[in-house]
Amino acid sequence: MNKAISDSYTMFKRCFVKTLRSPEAMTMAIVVPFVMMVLFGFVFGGIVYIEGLNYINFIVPGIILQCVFQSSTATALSVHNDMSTGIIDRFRSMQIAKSAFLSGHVWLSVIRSIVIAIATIGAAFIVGFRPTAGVVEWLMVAGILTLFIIAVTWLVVIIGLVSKDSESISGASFLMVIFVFLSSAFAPPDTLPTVLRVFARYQPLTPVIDAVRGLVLGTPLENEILIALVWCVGLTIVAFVGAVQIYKSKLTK
Amino acid sequence: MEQIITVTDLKKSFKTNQVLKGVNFHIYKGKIFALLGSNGAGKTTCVRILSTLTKADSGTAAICGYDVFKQADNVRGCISLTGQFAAVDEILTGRENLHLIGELKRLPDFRKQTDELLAIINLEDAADKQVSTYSGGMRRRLDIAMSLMGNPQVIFLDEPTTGLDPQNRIVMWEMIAKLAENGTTILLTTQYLEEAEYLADHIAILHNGVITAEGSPEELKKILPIGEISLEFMNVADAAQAQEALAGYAFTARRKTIEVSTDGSATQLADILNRINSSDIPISRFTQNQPSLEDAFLTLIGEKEKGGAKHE
Repeated sequence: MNKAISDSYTMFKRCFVKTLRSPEAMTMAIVVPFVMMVLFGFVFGGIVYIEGLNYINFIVPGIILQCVFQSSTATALSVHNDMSTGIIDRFRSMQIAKSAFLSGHVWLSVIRSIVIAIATIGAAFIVGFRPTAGVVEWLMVAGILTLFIIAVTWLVVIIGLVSKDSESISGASFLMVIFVFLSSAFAPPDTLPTVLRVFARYQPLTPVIDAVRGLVLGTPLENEILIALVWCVGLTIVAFVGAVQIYKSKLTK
Repeated sequence: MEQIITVTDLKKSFKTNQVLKGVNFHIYKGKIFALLGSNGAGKTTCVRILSTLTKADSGTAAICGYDVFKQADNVRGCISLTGQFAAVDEILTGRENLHLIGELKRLPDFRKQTDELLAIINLEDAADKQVSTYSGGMRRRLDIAMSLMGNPQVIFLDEPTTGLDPQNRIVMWEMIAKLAENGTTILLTTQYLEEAEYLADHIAILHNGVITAEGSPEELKKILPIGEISLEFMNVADAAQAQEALAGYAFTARRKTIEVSTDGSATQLADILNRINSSDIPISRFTQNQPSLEDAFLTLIGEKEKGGAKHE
């Protein structure tokens, strides 16, 4: 067990150094949330009217999720790169814990997404985000978002493992954007046509966004928190098992 | 001598394509063993199986006394793989790449070893630059240095000089030869005969999934009966006459030149020259071609192909 932890830590350090080495990625990670807040808040803020809510306040949860996806796409790419170069064969022919490779990527990805989520909330404050949440609510938000980030991370690990090239990763990343738009992120689902409304209401992002929004702004909540937690934990389990199976099957071909 | 690698009846198919059809060989401790074969002969599959990356369909393999299939983790502890594609991290520096391997191998003195290896591969000046700025030769050298961290007992080098220019190839050869002096056992695959001849103590020719011949470079030359002599005559008419005199021998004639295949023995050589002399045909030039490994290799492959045609 000790071996697994120290090997994972070594792999994590490798991923960490590589992240710091790509200044574009880091800059993007900080700039994109800010730009998105400004664009959506100011461009659509003037024309969208949601009863009782400031539009900037309304879109913050959606923007956070969008930025988490953005950050996670980089993880899919780096897993893909490692799998498609000789480096994975070197690791596999060494006496190291089998779990170390994936857990190094996952730990780095989770921590990077958390940092980006915090940066997004910071950017939101600058452009006028005014939450009403207290400490307890913020802790609950942190919990939900962390679980969400873990679920997304294992999903992008799968994407990185199965993608044939980086183009298919861009494709998957576009799909994530669609999920964000067809949720309650930027407009209440009630405003959508029937088919899309059903999709928006029952897909996993909507309860996560609604729960975070409710907690942060103090708007009324029914069982969104519970649904969000079930989705996050469920997705994590499925994606984790899937990723590990796919990783193993890739290695024994 | 102690066998450090023993491979028995190794078989492996990918879907319907049988890549290894029963490979047998053994390698003695501290020797350089070359697996020679053309592209697609199954060399890489063989190395991947021995380095625990791919499972064989049947057969056994033991390295350092461990079963490659049942004790893979122990085997990993005593081997090091340098694959066909440089397994270096582009974004890290050369030094960081070596540190990474040192830490994963839990070497207490990995910093010191890194410095030593950087000196051996002559990469001290570029040690703190990102690998993405390295040339192909530098990458390859770093790749091998990463395999040397922790002084593994067995090193696999899968086509270590493919894609290198002649100068870098020689540098690499010298590095590999030096390794063997330190007692490391090396299994090297190559498609270059001169490389096998230069480096290896023992060569096995892998063709169509089986070892078609093996031995020391000298032995391989010996078991191959091809010794060719080349006779050049004054004119085409003389050459035609000589062809008649050589009836019974295998030869190829091209204008004024005849190339005769012999078993390399003095008796045959004397007989050939005798026949031509007694027919009073003047020879303007005579050369004896020493059988090169290249000939050996091509002959073997040629024979196998003739013999194997029925199976196809």
